[in-house]
Amino acid sequence: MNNIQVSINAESKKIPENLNIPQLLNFLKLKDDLLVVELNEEVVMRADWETSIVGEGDKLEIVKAIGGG
Amino acid sequence: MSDSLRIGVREFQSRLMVGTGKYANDQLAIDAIRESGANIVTMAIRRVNLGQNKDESNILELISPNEFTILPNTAGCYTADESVRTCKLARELLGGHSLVKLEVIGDKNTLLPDMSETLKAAKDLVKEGFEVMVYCTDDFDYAVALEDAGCVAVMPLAAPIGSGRGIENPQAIEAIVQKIQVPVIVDAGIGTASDATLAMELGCDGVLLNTAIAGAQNPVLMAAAMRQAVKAGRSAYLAGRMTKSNQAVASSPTEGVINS
Repeated sequence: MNNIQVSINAESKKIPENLNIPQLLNFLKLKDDLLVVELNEEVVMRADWETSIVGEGDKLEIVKAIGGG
Repeated sequence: MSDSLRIGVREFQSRLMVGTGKYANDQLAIDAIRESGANIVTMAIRRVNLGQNKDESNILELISPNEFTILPNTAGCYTADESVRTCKLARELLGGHSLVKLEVIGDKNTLLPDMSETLKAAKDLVKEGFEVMVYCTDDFDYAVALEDAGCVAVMPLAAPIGSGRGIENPQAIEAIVQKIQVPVIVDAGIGTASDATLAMELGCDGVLLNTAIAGAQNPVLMAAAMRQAVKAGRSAYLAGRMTKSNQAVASSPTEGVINS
């Protein structure tokens, strides 16, 4: 399996190619609820997670809610 | 008597809104927030820690959208574009929920809002279908412009974020209250219960605070104090205070005093 280089939360990461969003979260050992994913500065709607495939050079942000005022 | 707070199409029983930051632990946070009686609680949106434990708790499990109206903020954003991106992430995170607290900070030391970027972001967010509660300075003209831009609540600061200095310019807050039709909520700078009461006595529709409770020696007790303070201030405002006098005016009749 080939790896690709992506940026996740501003960290450079090597991940397997052809992962969709649930597979990416699983690869990162993240629970897939209560978080949201942005791919190249566009929010990925949860309904589109299965069909959104991460490609070489993609820029991802994975965020959640935390305490704040 | 019902005296609910209407923000956009929503109605709330409590006029106190509280943040979820800076608590020593999660249990203390939920205990204090419940004691405050708040219906609206703010949260921030941040990157997940990629090395995190899969079993790490998530604040939305503890402070649930089923119990509270979650108000995601754009704290930490310095431009209109960053804040719009953050609101879009929050909306998806919360299943399409469009109520947001907009704050665009101008300087990392003062944490005062950048009002021109704030106004730009407010216009963009309203266009995108968000219901915007906007954190702002106590500048009258900007407050009016933010209402004109379609914000559902205008939220001038009492004093800088986390300073606890109380309402530094009550005349400015009062001028905004008298002009603005949408709810005016004092946000940031409240230090203790009397500050919250004063905000309500000035005619504000609500108070939003975080550190005043989370930073108290006993946050749960302070949460109760804030709940009571907001209610007392609101009642005093509705009651209409007595006229101030420069001279003493006797409360007891002046006639019939013995030996007169």
